Amino acid sequence: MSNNIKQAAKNSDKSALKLLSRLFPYIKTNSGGIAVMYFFSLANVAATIALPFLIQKGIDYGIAPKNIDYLIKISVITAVVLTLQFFSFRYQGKLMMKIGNVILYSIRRDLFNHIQRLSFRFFDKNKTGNIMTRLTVDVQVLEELLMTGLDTVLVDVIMIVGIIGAMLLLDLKLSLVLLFVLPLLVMIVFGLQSKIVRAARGIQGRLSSVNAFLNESLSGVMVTRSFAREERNIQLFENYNRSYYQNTRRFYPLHAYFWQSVIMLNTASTGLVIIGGGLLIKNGQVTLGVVAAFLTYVTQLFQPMQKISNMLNQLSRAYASCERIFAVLDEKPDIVEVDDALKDFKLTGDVSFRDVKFHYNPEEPILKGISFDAKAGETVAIVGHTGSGKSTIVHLISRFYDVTDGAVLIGSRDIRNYGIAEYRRQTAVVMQEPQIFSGSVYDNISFSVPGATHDEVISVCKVLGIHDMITGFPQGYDTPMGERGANISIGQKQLLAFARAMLRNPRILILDEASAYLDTRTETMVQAALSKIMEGRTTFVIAHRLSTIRNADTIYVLDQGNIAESGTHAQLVNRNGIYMSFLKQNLPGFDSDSD
Amino acid sequence: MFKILKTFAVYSRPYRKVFVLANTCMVIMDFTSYLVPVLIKYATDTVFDRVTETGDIKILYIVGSAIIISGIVRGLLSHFMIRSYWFVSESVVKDIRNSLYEKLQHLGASFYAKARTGDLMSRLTTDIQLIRNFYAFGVEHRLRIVLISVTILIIMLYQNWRLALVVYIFLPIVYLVIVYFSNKLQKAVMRKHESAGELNSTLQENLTGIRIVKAFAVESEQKKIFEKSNRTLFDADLAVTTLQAHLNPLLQLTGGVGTLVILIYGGYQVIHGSMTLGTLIGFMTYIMIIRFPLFILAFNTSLVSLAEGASKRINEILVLKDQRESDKGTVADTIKGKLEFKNVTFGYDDDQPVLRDLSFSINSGEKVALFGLNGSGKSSLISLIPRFYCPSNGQILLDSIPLPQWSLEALRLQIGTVLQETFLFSMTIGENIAFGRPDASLQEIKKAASRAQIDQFIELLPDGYGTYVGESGSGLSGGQRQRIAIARALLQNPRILILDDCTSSLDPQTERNIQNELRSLMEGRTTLIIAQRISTLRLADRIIVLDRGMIQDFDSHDNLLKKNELYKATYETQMVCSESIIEDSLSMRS
Repeated sequence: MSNNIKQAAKNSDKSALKLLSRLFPYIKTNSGGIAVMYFFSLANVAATIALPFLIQKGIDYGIAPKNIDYLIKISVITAVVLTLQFFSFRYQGKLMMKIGNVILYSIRRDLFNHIQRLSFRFFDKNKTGNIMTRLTVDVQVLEELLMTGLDTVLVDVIMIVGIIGAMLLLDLKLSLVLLFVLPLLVMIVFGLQSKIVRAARGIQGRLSSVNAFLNESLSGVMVTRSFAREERNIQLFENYNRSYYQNTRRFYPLHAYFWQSVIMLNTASTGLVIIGGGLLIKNGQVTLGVVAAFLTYVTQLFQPMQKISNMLNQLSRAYASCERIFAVLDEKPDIVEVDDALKDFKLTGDVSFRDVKFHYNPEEPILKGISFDAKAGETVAIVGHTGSGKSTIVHLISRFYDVTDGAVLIGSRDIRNYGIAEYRRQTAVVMQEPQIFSGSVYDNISFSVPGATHDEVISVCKVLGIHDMITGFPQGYDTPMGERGANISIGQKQLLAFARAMLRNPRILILDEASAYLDTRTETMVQAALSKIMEGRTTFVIAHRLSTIRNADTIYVLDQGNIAESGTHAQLVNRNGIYMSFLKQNLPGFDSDSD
Repeated sequence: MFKILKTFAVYSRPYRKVFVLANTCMVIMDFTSYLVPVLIKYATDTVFDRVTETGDIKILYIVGSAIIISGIVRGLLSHFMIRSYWFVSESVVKDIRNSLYEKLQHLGASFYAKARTGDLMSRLTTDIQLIRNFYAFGVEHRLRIVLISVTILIIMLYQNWRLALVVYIFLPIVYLVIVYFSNKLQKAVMRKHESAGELNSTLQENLTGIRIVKAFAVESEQKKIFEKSNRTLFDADLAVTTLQAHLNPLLQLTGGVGTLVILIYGGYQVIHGSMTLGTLIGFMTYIMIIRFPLFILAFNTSLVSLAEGASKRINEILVLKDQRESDKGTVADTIKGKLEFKNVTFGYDDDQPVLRDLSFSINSGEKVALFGLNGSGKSSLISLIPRFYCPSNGQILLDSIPLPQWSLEALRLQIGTVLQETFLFSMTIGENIAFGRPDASLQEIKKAASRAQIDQFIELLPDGYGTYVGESGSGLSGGQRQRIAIARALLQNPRILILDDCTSSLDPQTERNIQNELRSLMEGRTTLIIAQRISTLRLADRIIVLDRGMIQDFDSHDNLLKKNELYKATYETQMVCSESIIEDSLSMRS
């Protein structure tokens, strides 16, 4: 048993050191506060240990010999110590909570700010849910540690040492009772309690699967309904529920045993103090006051012991969380600005690719050497099957990724020479999945130009022909959107995304399958507006619909990472090559009607 | 507290014997704990003196053992008490959870139209957990707070009423302060949860939209927004923890002041001979016992009031009427498929009809498409057929029998639905296909998959039909998911088929590929199709053109082209592209 404890303590020592070394910068900024906190903690410990001592003195030298002056003196000292204890406990607690909260706040802030700096590759690899967990669950695990444990290591050890020291000082012989109390207490607190904590985590896992099943049942309730599968689902749920229930029934006896042992030990040690005290009093070796003090001390050992055990149990979990948090913080953004990046420039709109190669991993090249020149003001359409690399081309123009080889030139300068934020400020993207944020319609459109006036937003919407649609919403431009907002169709969201891009008045505009969700009527309308948008700026369009593609100045047909054909619509149709076969496959009713 | 016990009386009744046992253990346990101070008093007043005088240590051992034995008895009692309370709480909560789930499975579509999954989940998890804690230690603590403070008062009054009164003078004030704190604490905790939720949604939104954030280079704006939520959460956290940091020293002080009062006033009495030293030491032990109810009071007050809210929210769902109450029908014949709508009017709110006075009939085996602009009532119309909703006026007849006379299960099992968004459950692909018929053999599942042309894809997967489909079918493309949904409907072999706009979200290429599977699915069944694209509408024999809840036209494609403006306009915009390209290619080649 004791071997196990040593091992566990050793392990957590090691993790604790590592953990603390990473948390150190956060703790360091609060080091003044922490020193003050420890000062108050120690004052609190000293008071806690002193109180039974004072009472012993009061009984033995005040009450027993009927010395009222002495009793009053001791009472006054006791009152002072109590006041001291009250204030030091209070300030210790307040400081600890404040420091803990500041650390959590800083970690959350640093995590979020760092995530904002990371590039697309990071988000390709990590699911939203996983990143969320870092910022919520993992930070919360740290919270539990910081709120309960910041003062534990030092203070509770001192508390235990102090109590034992006070007992030894009061009476060496009566302290023999510790030989019985201490080993048992250690066994209960460190052995049984860590068992309970481990079992509790197992149960938590079962509960999560019950809840996951529940969540899915709720999301899929209409499917269940239409297949009349209620009874079967109810049965399945009962199984999950029962399995959780049976696990709890193995768990709570442990809990019961724990408190049973604590209570038995507490009372038994009281009994032993009485017997031992009686024996010593008989021989005149000890006073009544000492016995009374021992009665208090013996029960006071439990709490600091339990806190240390809790702390050790929490450390391993906190360590794992810390590791994950710092893994994110250690992640390096792979799109970085060069030191002498251009900050003040105006894009002309010329875009050239020079033998651009790109891959995520070397075995699967995505672009195998793309070269083209797009003049300012041109509209370039990129067509090709899924996986042909067309999205990659526009991602490179937005500098979401950097080329593996070759160069992307923007106005005869390498794209990597521009300051990223300013460069993106002069470009705009409309993506296939319109992203609507909570906030009003106005907020969503002005998202791209924070601080844009209502008039600017309205005039953009008028140009796009969606002003009437928006004024038709319940509260017009102030209609709340997002999860809790009004339900608007995905096509309408797409239109807001168009307005958002347009508001920036970009030199380079990228439409990445942007009209996929629009119905026929709306598409016609947007197309008219699009030709207005495209005027005077370089536009890259990825689309399936012919009506969008055919008016482009140049169409590049991508096939397995190479440009297979290029030219105007008329030229490509005339050639009757890949472009034509692509059109045939992608236009509903096109070749089935001509069969 | 009694409100909660009453609300869930039905659930706790089967375990009432154990519950009574738990309470009995608790009462006896607390009474044995009062024995210890009495024994200590006896030891200090009588035993120690006698031992010193006579040297007879037998009595000392007897008193000491009595204390130890009372400790063992208390330990055992506490063991049974905890076990019984926890048994009751886990059992009651298990039963409530089952009932809730059963209720939720049977609640009607109108409930789900309004309910939010997040809200329901929080009732099923957080609220249930509160009820669990209420039964596990909420009741115990509440009873013990009352029991211990009253009995200790009586014992102390009996032993030395003057000292008892002086000690107890503080208690009411302390109680009030604690209750005041716990109310404040509860509010602060609620604010903290709200702020945490706020932060989570800010975060969620940022992460799902991170590509747009980067594309528009508005990271610094986002940082500001997050900073605000983070600040709010920090303040809320600080409010909670500061309250705790104020409360705990106060509790500690109460114990200390009690001891001090006993030392001064008790000591004065001992010196004046009106009290024994044993009583004084005994009183100090009582103070330690009283500290327990004081320490748990704040925690208990907030637990019980939170649990009251939780029980209300849970009960709200449990008492709702569900579809089983309207399932009075008995007809369970094989459906032939003739559908008649007679003057059907329907609305989600009484004053806003979505469908107005619809009358039409569909022949057995006929394929009918529904066409109309958004909000014309297409989805509402089809939701009436499996009786997800009931018409507010008029009647729907299936095979000349009014719908309410059909057994709900028989009706729904014979109606197959393929929805716009395919929902896949996290089970194997095979189980997902067999969702409507869990007893189907692998042979049948494979056959359905092959007719939906998804079998080849499935067999290439590492575990074939045993491949586990992740949450909401992640990892599968839209077309693959839609095919699985078609296989699911095929396996059910429905008599009536409803295709609710199930191809619009697919890209045109996939849509075209899937149309053949749809054709084979529709074969020989009465079918209702909602679609946007003309190419899909043309799969139907006749097309209903809906306009603001009324039938504008009900005719074949060719006839509609001649007479219906909306239909004709849509047809022309959709077809013009493909026709112009033919012209283009022709003109260029000539």
